[in-house]
Amino acid sequence: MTTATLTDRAERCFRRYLEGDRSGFDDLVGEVTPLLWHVVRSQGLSSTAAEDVIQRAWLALVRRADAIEEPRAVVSWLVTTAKRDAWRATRRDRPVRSDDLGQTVGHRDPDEVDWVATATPTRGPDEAVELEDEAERLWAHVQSLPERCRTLLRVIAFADRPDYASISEALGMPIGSIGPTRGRCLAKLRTLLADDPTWETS
Amino acid sequence: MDAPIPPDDGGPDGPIDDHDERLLAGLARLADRLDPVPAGLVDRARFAVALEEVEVEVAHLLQTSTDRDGDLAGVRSATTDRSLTMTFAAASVTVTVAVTEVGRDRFRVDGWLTGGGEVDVTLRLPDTPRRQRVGDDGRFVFDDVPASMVQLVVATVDGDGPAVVTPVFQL
Repeated sequence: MTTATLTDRAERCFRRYLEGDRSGFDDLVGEVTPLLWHVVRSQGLSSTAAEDVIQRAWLALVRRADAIEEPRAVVSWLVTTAKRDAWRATRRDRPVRSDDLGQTVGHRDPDEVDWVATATPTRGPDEAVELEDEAERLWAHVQSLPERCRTLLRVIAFADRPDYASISEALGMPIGSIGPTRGRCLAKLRTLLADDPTWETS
Repeated sequence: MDAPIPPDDGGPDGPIDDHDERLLAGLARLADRLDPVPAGLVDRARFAVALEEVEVEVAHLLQTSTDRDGDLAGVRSATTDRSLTMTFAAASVTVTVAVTEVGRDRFRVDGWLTGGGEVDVTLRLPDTPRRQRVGDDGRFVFDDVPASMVQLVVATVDGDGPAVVTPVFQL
């Protein structure tokens, strides 16, 4: 049995909207906004700037809905639009390139830098200690990946497997970098984990 | 994620397997915990697209008076008498607003416009919007605004040209 992916669900919502059902757009916003949050925040924007970018992407879709020829491409269109706008906002608001942030941790507002570079896992009361340890080790390894990989993996982590290729392409990653094959970023992460003895013994 | 890693997984050219899926699921949990999707994000996006004006220019948030993270939701937790100031910039007009908590979940919004001339400023709220004609001095005040999602819409008096809107933010 195949389950509907985000791309499938978003297409259905968008088609409803194009056919005149206004609630289709609200449902579309509910489906795709969380993914856009991870797209935009992985670009290193503050939470406020990230929210502005997301609102602008949705407004842009309202205005240009007729120009999207293939309703199935609506998720890709939103991801590309939000990522480009986030990139522009990064350069407008901050002179420091997010690529450099791994080296400037501690000198910046934690909210301004990307999630993996600065955030420290916090322990939830209802989570097992073993899982926390595993998450913290995973976090440490992801932190050592190039920024492009951190962005790609963060976003793909919230997608369904059949959508990997289209979403990674929408992010501007080379076609085939992830999807049918594992791609460089996941392979790199696995190599790091394979070389971590504490990971394998867990 | 507790299974040993297969010795020969094909590297970058290998197919995505269950181990990759488990790693990605772990990353998703990590991101959800370190940087969760903010409460109300979806509602504010829906409110933003419900704007009646089709042709709009969205002003960019230039700066806020807080040194936290510019988190507009932080207004809510501000102590009484303390105000948060935000400046939004568009091509033709700059809007500065100071939000002051004047009572329990009630706010006053003081505004200053520059570059707009005589305009109509609308404060969009989930219920009835409030509108003011603003003169050349650029001053406007919306008093006793309930804690809610809001958005400012600046339009020319004759309705010509695109309206300038701020992002939707939370009082």
